[in-house]
Amino acid sequence: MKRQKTLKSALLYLILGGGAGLTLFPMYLTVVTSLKTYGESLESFFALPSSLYLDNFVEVLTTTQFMRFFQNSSIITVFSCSIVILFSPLVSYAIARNRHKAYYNFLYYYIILGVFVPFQVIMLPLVFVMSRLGILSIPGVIVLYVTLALHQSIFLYVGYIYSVPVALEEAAYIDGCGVLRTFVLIMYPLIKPMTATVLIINALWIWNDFLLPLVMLNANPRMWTLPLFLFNFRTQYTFQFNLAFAAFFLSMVPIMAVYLFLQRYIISGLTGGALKS
Amino acid sequence: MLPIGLHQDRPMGQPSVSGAAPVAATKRCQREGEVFDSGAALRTVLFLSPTEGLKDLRWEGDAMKPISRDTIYFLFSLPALLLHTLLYALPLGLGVYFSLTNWDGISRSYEFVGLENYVRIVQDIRFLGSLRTTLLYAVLLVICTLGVSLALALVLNSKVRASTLFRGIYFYPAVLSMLTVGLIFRQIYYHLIPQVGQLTGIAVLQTNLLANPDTALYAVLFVNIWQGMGIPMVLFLAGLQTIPDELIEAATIDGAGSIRKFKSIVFPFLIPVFMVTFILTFRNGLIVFDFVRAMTDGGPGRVTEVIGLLIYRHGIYQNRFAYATAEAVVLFVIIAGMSFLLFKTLGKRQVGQL
Repeated sequence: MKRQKTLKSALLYLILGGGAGLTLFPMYLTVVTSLKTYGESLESFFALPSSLYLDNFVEVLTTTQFMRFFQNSSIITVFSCSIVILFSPLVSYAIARNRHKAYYNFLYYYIILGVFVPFQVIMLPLVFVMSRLGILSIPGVIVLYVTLALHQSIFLYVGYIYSVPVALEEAAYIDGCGVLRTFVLIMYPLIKPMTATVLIINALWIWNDFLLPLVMLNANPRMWTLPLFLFNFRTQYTFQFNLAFAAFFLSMVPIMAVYLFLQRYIISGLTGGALKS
Repeated sequence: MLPIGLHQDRPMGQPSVSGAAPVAATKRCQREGEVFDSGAALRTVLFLSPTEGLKDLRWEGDAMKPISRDTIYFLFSLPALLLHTLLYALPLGLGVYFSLTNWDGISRSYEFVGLENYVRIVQDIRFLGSLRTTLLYAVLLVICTLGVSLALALVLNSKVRASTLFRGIYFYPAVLSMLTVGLIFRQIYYHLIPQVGQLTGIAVLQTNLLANPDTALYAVLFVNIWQGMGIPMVLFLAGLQTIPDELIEAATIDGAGSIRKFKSIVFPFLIPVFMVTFILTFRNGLIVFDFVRAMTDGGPGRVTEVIGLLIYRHGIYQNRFAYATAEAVVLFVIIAGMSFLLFKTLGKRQVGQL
């Protein structure tokens, strides 16, 4: 009986370990291949590089405008996320505390029904609208991300604000706080867990998004984001794949670094705010 | 929800506790609200640094004209209302409108053609084939992703050593961009898998799986599962942790086996998470684009031409703007209908909130 149990748990760890290996393998491959010379990369995929060969990175960084693309991606992500976590709590607060009024109830459904509209449905008319407005540019894309993030973040925030007792706000009102001060001093600190969730969801999405920059920014290489850069260079790197992997690795470094240090917070943030209601 | 008095409008800085006073205050405020100082309102709403703004408020608190609370709430909601109308509702409306025309996206004039695009779509073999591919893909994606992620969550939730480490490893693909993952696997399928096939002698693996019409869709699907299981897994894990230990203990004492325990206790607790992950994953499957564009670009032939890609090609490359928007509207109807059905079958059960 006991032996059977050890056998069973050994098997379990074997499967778990194998799965982990399968999950990590592409990452291993990316790192290893990006450190190989062209000749080495042709010989074998699995072997470790003979020396710490960094020229691939140098070549990607010098022959392309990698830093500019990195900067574009960062600007878009940072600004979009900051605006989202500044403004969507405000509107969510107004909605959550006024749902008995027709306007706010309408606004709530008007916005969150956007959840059902896939991006492809509004994509083409959106390109039309954006080009008419003359904002097929990075600021335009930031405004778009803020808009596209609205329905989900409002949905999450409104649900969360319901769970905050009104008594605290009442106390603040009685002490003479206006709506804005009540919001800043009382509500915003209380909904921080949800802000973490919204921030993580949106940061991951915006940093990694490909289709929206593709239809909005692809025409002008100065505005490319990292995914656009990788996409546009894919044919160039098909045969020199040591360079391709160097580019992949460079573009993954920021998010992997963040994940490595904040892994625990990212995972619990994703689920914490979302599932506790 | 708010006790009486707190719903009412009241000028700032004039707190009142009794029930009668707010009514009078409301009346006065409604009169004053009509001529409120919009500059002060904007100052109040638009400040970005909390401390600076608070200082302003404190200093000007008495001098400021009272702004009704309704006005402030309204100003809170205004940016969202405008943005959503301009960049969400308007494009949606325009899309439906253009789908009834024959506009190519460039020329100055176009004609209203009624439902002609839709009539052509339901007879279009390319569209119908694409729809079938997409549905097959989405269904397989849901089954595999939910199966794998639920199994992983159950294993990691049992008393496994280093479960946090494993969770971290299994989740990491979810933070990468779909495009990068797709491009990496494109290289793997192109260069590595044929080597493995030659070493092991398995015939299917010896060629590029993405170039083989029989395997291309499944090769893309595998990558999507590899990356897409992370988020459902952590959601399932969080759901599993809401199950009280006492329930499981009681069932164990009553002699329930692990299958019985899963059926009668664990699964009912997981239903809300299950529905959420189901909808999310199914939707992701129906609108898949990045993976396909990165790995096969619809090929070989049109085996992997999913709807998301078809709309993109028709609309952006082939100048069939109106036709592509009609296709998008059909996709929208399918997704909306599916979500509606799922919510309906859920009844009034509270769904988790993601």
